[in-house]
Amino acid sequence: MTRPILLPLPNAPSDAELVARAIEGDRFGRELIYRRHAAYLLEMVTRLVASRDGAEAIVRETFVVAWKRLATLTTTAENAELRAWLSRIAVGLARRRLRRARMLRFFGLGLEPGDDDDQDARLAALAAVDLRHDARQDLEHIDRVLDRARVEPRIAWMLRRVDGLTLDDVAAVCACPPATAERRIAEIDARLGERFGTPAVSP
Amino acid sequence: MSELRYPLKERLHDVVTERALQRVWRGIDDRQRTRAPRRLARGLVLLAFAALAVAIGVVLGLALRTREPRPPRLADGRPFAAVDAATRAVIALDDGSAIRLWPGTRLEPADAELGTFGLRLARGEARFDMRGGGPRRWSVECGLATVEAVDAEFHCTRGAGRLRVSVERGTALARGAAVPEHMRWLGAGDSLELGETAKIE
Repeated sequence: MTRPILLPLPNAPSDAELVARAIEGDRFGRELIYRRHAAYLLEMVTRLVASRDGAEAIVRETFVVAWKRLATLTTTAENAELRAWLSRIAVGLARRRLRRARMLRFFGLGLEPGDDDDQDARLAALAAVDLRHDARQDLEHIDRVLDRARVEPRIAWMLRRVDGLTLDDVAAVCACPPATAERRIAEIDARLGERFGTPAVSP
Repeated sequence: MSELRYPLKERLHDVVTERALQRVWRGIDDRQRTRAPRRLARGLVLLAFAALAVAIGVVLGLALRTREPRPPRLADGRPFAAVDAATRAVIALDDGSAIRLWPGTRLEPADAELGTFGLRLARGEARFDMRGGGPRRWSVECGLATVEAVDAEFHCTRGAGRLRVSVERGTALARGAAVPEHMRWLGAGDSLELGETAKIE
């Protein structure tokens, strides 16, 4: 499996410049924004919703929404701010998808996690080739804990423990105070601690 | 304790491919292009719903209107008209009701609210035998009082400055300034005489 390598271009336009161009309807500006942030979003959302197809749909919708709301951004938006803004939209859509799936399961209308063919990007399925058997089993256990977890703690925990975002970044993306994000992460940590001890894996 | 360390993505393989990125970009492009037709389609759907709602409203309105009780007509289908009875006469109505008139009686149609069969006993003596049931109400103005009933048989005699109402079947309501307390329910066997002084039997 190959991953596109994006080399930094000399004199590359800033996000603020690209946003300004995109607002004026410049297709090139939009495509550059997409190229700069789509891979990051797709990685993050695929792991969040554990589905490649689902993640593609969410990222597609994220940019459709972003193009509509682009004018609300200040033109001084820096690179990191644009990425955080896009992440907030993507995580919001992922949250909606996870809640809908949970509700369908509650009413017996959806498949259980793991039985669903669409769930092809669970953590255990994404394990690196050289990962040992016991580590794979741990990932399977984490998947099961996340399946039973509430949506908000699941998202916060994955952003922190899987993607490695700082607590402030998790709070910003989840649109909640850092203390709330911390509490949500701790909720999943505590469940994992029953098997792994606390912390489950090194922070 | 396994080899897992946070962040876990360090021990996961990459999930993004160039093909996936291109696929998503094409999807965004398609969504942008189809947005206008989708808006148009949404507008058409809303318009269709609005038209359907109006059509349902019209149909319901017509249905309710046709279900509204209409005043009875004469047995031959003609609308009721004023009658001056020189001899005893019986007016048969199309719903099975009958009005008996005594000689010298004048009975006229009167204005009434929707759903009410309005009559005026100008003079003389008449017996109203209502049949057919249903919500239709009869209202008979008899000078000193107006008698209202839904399904009843009652007799009115109107003379100069005098009125007698008696009920044979069902219940009737007599209203008027000359009626004691301006309103009186009369059951089968009850009668009411109004004149300079009212008398209830």
